[in-house]
Amino acid sequence: MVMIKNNSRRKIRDRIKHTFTTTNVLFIVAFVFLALFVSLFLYLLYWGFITSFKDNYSDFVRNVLGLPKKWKLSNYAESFKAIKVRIASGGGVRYALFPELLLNSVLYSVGGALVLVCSECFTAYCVAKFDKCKFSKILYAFNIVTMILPIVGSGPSTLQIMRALHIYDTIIGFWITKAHFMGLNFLLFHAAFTKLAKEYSEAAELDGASNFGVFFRIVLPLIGGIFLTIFLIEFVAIWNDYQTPLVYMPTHPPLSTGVFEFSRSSSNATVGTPHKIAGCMILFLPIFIFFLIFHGRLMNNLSMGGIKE
Amino acid sequence: MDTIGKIKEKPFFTRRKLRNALFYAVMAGIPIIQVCIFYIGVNLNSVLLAFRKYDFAADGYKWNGLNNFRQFFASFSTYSYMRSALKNSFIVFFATILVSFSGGIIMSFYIYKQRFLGKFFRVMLFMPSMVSSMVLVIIFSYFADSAIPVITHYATPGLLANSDTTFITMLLFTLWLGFGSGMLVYTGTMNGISESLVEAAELDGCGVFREFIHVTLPSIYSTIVVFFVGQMSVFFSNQMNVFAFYGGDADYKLYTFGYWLYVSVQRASPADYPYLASVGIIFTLILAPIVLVVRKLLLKFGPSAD
Repeated sequence: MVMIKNNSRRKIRDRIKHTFTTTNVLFIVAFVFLALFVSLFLYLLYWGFITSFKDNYSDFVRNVLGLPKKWKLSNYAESFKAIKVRIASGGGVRYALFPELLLNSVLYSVGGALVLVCSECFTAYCVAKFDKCKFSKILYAFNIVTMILPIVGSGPSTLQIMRALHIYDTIIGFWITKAHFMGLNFLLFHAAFTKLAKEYSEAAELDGASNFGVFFRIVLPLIGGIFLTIFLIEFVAIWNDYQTPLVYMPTHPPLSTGVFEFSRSSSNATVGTPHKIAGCMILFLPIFIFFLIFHGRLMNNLSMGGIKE
Repeated sequence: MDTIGKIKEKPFFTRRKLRNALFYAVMAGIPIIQVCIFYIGVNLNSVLLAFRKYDFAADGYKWNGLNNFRQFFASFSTYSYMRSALKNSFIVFFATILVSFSGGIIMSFYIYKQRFLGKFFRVMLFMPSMVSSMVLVIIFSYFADSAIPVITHYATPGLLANSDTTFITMLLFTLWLGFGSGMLVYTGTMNGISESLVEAAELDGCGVFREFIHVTLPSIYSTIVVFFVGQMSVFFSNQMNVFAFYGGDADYKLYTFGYWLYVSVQRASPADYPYLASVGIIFTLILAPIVLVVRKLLLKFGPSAD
């Protein structure tokens, strides 16, 4: 036991020695910045976490930095109740409460991410499979052009077209706006399909499998890891997004919009800092736990310039 | 009878081709239609909208010539927030390039070389891109105004509450969050550098700094160009988290073009669409050629991985 401890200590000592003796100022500067970045980030989260359990008047005001004198779990329960979005509809006003916000968030993030990733994956497969076809070449080039060409301020026009198509302010309308193939994910899928050995699909085709059979039974399971990784990344991005729903789905707010509105509200019961931060934690903690579980998959599966399985 | 003796031509639409075309249409049809409507259609409509104005009497749009464009350029002399937006957008862009962008590459190099705590730093740098920026902004804003004065024994007031330090605090916070944005891509590309190349450099007596300058940077140059061009592309849409900090009520001094455009679209009625569309056209006409030329020049005159 002592031997193992000594070995691990020696390893750490060697690592530190290796870092600071065989290198120069560049690494020392980088290490200082990284350490500062991480310390500030972790301290901010720690401060937010402990603050969310404090009593606003008797504790937080006099004890801003210390641990709570009494851990007040009721802040979370009160914030749960207070997170709501005021919606003006049909001449009246109603409030979207927590369950509705959560449901919208799930529909918005799971549905949106699924539609987006399927659109990109399916189109990339067609472009990679029929790579000799001129149309495929056009689609690939079009995607590259849209990535290079910065187009600013198409929001008003999008709103006008969505209104004209009667899909403005609907969940289905939001899903439709996600059903495109443009962006980096398309290139990642395309690279994955291009690298994939054709022997499997050709053997299946010889056995009489249809195009759909080849894709869904053979190819999709082979790139399942990449599909899941991109889906998870998009899911988190949409879950956290509070600005898009404010513009395109004002009467279907998700939880992120609810927390944003809550942080800006001045309701007496939850006006204090601990309540506001508890509200943020309600949005943050599920993603934090999700990150702790999936960070290996999220970080290792996507290798730049392509994807590794 | 005429075809006797001639080679039988293959029909243009074989059953296989038809099957493939059907598969293509089913799999990629919806995304292609979507892009036709929501990218090509939206942008064409944006151009048309930019030359119109809303006629309340007729409840529709009518031709307005170049007036929307004139109105935008005139707004710089009329509204101080437009001048602030211009100045702040430049500050955010250059600060991001100098600090987050350059710092991100050096930190990625540290992680790539697997130095002390490299793996831990890798996870921690990636984490902010997973956490909602709005959540971090809210916690930070309370921290800056409640905890910082206590830490400094009330030598400084709240960093955001004090109007002299509000902008720089928000800028530093945005730069701080941006450090890790390209880390995964940079480290991934650096990992692709041939080990024999690195070993050869080491045998030639190349130190860490020279390896970074002469081996690593040229090898990941195309990735650096992609990120640089990406930063340029968001010049007019970078909000610097102003909306997350202040919602729609930010002080005019804190405006960036991205924030102003977002708040304007969020509050817009159909009568405002033409003016905002014209602003989008102006921004695109300024940005697109610059981005394309800079990208071409950087790729042409930059170092080669060879």
